[in-house]
Amino acid sequence: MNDSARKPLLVRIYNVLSGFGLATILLVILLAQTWLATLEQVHYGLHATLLKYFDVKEFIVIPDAGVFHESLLGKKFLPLPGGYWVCALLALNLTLGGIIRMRKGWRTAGVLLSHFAIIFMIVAGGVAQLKEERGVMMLSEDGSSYPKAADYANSFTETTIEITEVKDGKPVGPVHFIKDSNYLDLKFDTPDRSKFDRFLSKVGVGQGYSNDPRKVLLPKLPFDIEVQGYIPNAKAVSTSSMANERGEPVVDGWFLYAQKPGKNAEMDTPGIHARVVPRDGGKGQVMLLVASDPSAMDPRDPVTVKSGDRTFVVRLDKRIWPVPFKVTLVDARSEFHPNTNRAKFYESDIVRTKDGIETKHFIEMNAPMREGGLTFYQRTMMSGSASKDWVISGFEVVRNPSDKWPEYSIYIASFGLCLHFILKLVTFLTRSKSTPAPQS
Amino acid sequence: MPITGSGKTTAGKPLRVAEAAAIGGAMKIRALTACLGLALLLPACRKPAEVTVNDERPLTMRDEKVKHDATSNDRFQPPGGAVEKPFLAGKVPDGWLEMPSNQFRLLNYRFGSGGEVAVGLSSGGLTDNVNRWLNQFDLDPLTDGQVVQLEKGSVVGIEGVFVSAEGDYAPGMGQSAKPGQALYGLIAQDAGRVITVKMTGPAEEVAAQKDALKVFVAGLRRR
Repeated sequence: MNDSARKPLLVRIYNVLSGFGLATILLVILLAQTWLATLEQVHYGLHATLLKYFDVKEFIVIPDAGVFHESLLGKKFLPLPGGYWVCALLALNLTLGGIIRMRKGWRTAGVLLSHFAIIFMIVAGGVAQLKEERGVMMLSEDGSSYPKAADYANSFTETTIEITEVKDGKPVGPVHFIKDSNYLDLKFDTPDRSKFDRFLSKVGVGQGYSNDPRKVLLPKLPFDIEVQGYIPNAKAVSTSSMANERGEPVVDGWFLYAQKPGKNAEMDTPGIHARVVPRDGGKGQVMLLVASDPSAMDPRDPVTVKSGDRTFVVRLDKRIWPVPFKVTLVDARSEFHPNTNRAKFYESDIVRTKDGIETKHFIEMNAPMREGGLTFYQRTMMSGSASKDWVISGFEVVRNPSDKWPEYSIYIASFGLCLHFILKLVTFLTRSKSTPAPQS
Repeated sequence: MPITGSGKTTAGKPLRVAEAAAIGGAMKIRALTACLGLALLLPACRKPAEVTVNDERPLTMRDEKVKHDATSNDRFQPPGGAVEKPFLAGKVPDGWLEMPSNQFRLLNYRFGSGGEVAVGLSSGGLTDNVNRWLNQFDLDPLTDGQVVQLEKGSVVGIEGVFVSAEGDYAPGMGQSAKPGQALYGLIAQDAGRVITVKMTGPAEEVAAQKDALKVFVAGLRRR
């Protein structure tokens, strides 16, 4: 029996997990994934491709063969492990092999530091994947096409169903919301008509099909909401202009038409079928909810729901994050490289108002504003007319607890590599003095 | 049995490399299989039929405007009301499915596996538009004299010509060319505007729908 077979199982697992072989395999997989995802995002859009290859929920990725030739679109390719888990395994491999198993001493201090920095950077990516939120705040100088000031940002792709109580024509807080993680899986594509027919038969409207409905219990409200048939990119279509040939349920002469998701997922308008479920066992109210058009200034009009003497409004919208201060756009400027649409610079003067105190700030590309755990990047700029009078400024608002970690990791890695280089140089110079090369 | 740097055990016996590699390989395969099995099992977890939600957020400036008792028409019609279509279809051929219209496709249908029919209003001259379509199939442009010799037709009482083409279809707007496609459609000029009825799709499907398109064109009328 050889040496390998006699080692305890745990030791052998440890050796594999900390070995160069695993590190090499993982790095090759990451290289392949990055290459394939770069090619694939041309067909399916950046957001969808990033989710497919690197989301925490994706354990297996099947690349689309169309990356090699368009005629192969839709055909399957060799499956790969999900990018998130490859990175997690790489972090474990580096921790075991590059830190715990590695010899410790002043000679290896630089390499140990560099390994730690790489692990730190991978962890930063993992934290960002799990905790990062990205949204957009669109402001205009004159307040005509977008608001001039805002204290909120909209998520790019995440939606919520929002329920707000209204008194005397005005909303009264707080806003209750249902995250899309509660209904994203209720896709409107299962050809099991009977399930949706049962849902609709309770209220006597239309025909349709989908998965089973899901009841969302709302303990703080006098009713619950049942959701079903989520459509990633929906358009409300009137039956007077188009027949609901796929059996879509019709409410008030309208139905949700499923459009192909766009390559720019942030421009899609998700939709869902919902039913208000009263606690008294009443029939409830069926509604079609479609997210507001991202290019519209105001949200879509909500559905009004009466419950006893209380009134609520319900809408589907791109998720809103309250920002802990108000941002007012004062001036926005841009310049392009000659005869191109490539921005030379975008820059905005804003006023930040917090607790009644106003402070002026300047934001430009690569020079964001950081405040209250949020980072405001200059994202885009648009014109309200054909002239060069740019008036709409868009800021990408990012909440990421690991925002600065990659920067710190680069400092640590640079220091570690410099230290290692200096140590090697000193060793070499010292050794060459003490042991001169033999003379022939 | 520790291994020395020379490839021998400390007991002096030569290392059986093939056996060690086989055992190591089997162990790796087992570990990979376990990981793969776990990865396949995890997504199988299903969400419950009921969930409880207590999420809240404070009011923002976006919540200030609230319209009460909005009807479905209020909520879904585009600003300014529904798009006014200048044409009405008489008879829509069997197998054609109406699609949402837009400013470029005033009437919009699809058929078969990838066929499309669009009625639109365009600008420019008759020959310019004929050549615009031919250019999408990378075909040579026609002269005014050649255009008037094309198959004649009429739509809403206006004389026009039928255009047909076959080959790789590049519709533009950044879309790549599709092979094996065909076009058959009518272009008619009317007081500075050009009415177009354009059918495109896989060549055999377009060929099968030519008569249906003629019936559809004959039935079109102004609103």
